[in-house]
Amino acid sequence: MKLCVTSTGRDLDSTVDFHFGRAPYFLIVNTDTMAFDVVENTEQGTGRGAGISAAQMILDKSAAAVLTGVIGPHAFHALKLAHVEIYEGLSVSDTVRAAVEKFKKEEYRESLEPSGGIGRGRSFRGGR
Amino acid sequence: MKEIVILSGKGGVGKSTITASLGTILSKDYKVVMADTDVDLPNLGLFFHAAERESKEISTSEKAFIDYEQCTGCLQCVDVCRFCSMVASDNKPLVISYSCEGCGACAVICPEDAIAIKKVVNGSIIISDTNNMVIVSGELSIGESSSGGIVDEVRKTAKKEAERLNTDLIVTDGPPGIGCPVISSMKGSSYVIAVTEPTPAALNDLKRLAEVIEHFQIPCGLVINKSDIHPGGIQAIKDFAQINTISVLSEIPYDVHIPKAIAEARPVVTAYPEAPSSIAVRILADKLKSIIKKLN
Amino acid sequence: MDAEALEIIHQRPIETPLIAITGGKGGVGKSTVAVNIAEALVQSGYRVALADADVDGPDDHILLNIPLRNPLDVTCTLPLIVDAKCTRCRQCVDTCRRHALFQPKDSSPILIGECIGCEACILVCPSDAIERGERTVGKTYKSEMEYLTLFTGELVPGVEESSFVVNALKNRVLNEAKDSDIIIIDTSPGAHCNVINALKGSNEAFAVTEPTPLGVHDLNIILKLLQILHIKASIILNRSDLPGVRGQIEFVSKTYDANISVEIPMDDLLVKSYVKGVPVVRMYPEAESSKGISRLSKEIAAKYIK
Repeated sequence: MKLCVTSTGRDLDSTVDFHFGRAPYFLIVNTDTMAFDVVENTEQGTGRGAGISAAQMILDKSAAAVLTGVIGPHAFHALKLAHVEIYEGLSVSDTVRAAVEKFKKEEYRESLEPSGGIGRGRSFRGGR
Repeated sequence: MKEIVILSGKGGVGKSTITASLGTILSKDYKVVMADTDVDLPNLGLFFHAAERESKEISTSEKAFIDYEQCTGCLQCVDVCRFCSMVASDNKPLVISYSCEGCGACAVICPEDAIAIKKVVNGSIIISDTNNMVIVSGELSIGESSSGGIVDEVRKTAKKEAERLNTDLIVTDGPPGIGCPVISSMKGSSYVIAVTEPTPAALNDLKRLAEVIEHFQIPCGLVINKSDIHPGGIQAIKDFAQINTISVLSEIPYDVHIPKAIAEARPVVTAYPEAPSSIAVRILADKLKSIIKKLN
Repeated sequence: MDAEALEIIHQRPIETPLIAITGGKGGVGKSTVAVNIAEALVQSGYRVALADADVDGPDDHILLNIPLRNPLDVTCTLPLIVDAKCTRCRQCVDTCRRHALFQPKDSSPILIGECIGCEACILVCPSDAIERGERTVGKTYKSEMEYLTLFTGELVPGVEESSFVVNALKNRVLNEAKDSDIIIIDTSPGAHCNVINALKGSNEAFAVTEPTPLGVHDLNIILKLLQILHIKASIILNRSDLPGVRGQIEFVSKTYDANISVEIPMDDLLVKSYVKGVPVVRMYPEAESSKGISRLSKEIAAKYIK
């Protein structure tokens, strides 16, 4: 399936990015072949609505699921309307490649509710 | 990492004073980053002799700019602006930039493509260090707007500092009121402390603030400052708290040591540690430590 | 701000003198001062309109202990997308600078995010597929007493669009206070655009402050703003005998050429009347604070009321 992973860089060995709306890149990875597209997040510096514009970009690339650290309520709502599955709780030290492997092994749980906005993560894996 | 935001609704009830002292006490047991999100009038730094480490201009605001060489004076932009920010002057449009929201409606309607929406610097973020805390403050440039965006940047920067330093706790001095900057300050935080005083005006503003906190579903507790200035008024606050199941965390008596300490530019717990208000803040800090442990 | 813009923003439909009470810092006693100046002017026999522009938390009605009457809703546009007319062209989604619109794969765009009511989406839609709905962002009120009329603006809690409410309040006052001899406007704390919207058109602004480092810091900012706006500024020093930094206030006063027009000492009677919801000039006219405020209001009347 096509999985979108929030990333700090343009390739699979980049570290993941924790915040959905403000990630500099989205990698749309085909989990079967590991082929991927890079979408640059042109709205990451924006004051408002970064999450919704990110959701729109991802939908336009036909991603079926999103894997990220934390996603705000507006973007959550948008993705749910678009029937995109949402997985939160990325570990900040993982590469995109490692995160996708964990996803294939079903190590992430689907988020059924938004966890919150700026400043609060549901879990900082490996943090305090 | 948890973030505690201190709000009040009404200004002048002692929010910054309490935040400064609370942060000082908590920093003895936790690594603390303090954030000042009252970006119109950032006061937190006045309580500490903090050394400025870094200051950067930021742009969280966009405004309309007219290219008068392309403009034909049709004035359609004046008709569509919903924010009274495009006016006609001598048959040409003029942007009133302080109130311009940068929405782009004027740019959409302009038949000559003569209007561009561009980012403007509307404030700055300052990172300072005291001997055991980091303070991140934001300041809105005079006359500018979009303080909500600057509040967002302050919190983002505070979070980055906190991550860098492996910090446990961010203590945020919130803005007054209940508007956009307040909403920006509390979204996604772990706990809100609402500070009030036993006067009718403060209670009125507390009620409005409580509605907003409730809307965002953030756990909160109440601190009653200057608790003895009006014995009749305190019951009304306690009744309100009880009806809305908000716990009263502390009652801090009016204490002349507070204005004295402010005049010395120090938190009261540093300047006068045995003063009644200092004792009350230490008890408040203890309560908070248990609350923080229980937050998920 | 350039001279042209300044001239335009200060224009107003009526000639009634407009005096602003502002202050930057919250809790310095701005509303208390505004209410008492208004009350003192009434005692001198004038018809006064008092406008409470602190729309986040209007308190003047509490200080006067009067109910809010004659509500009028303040609304802004809520875009309503008409599915039948929508061609899914996406222009509205791309035009919205707050990214408030989202288009799922098989439907017309949906409003999800924070809409500010700018109507850019309505203007750009090539198919006329977005209608103007309405949402209430606040209310204005008018409470009339014999010689004092209180106008109040109140924002719906949780809503961000406060400028609509301040502007609606200002418009209501300027339209309905024609019979008043003078208008006093109580601004919100701060130096942001809503304070400017309340201040514009004023003949004079009084910055209320206190002799503390916090008061001095904020006084500097508000006087700078008044200077930029070309509004005559004076200072009201409240709690003037608080242990503090009075000298710094005097320094700021000289720097901006803003006179300290009255000093109000800490006054038990002021606190007593404040918690009772009665203006001190009415409850304790012989109190120190009352005498100072009455004197100032007579000066204001002499200067501005013809």
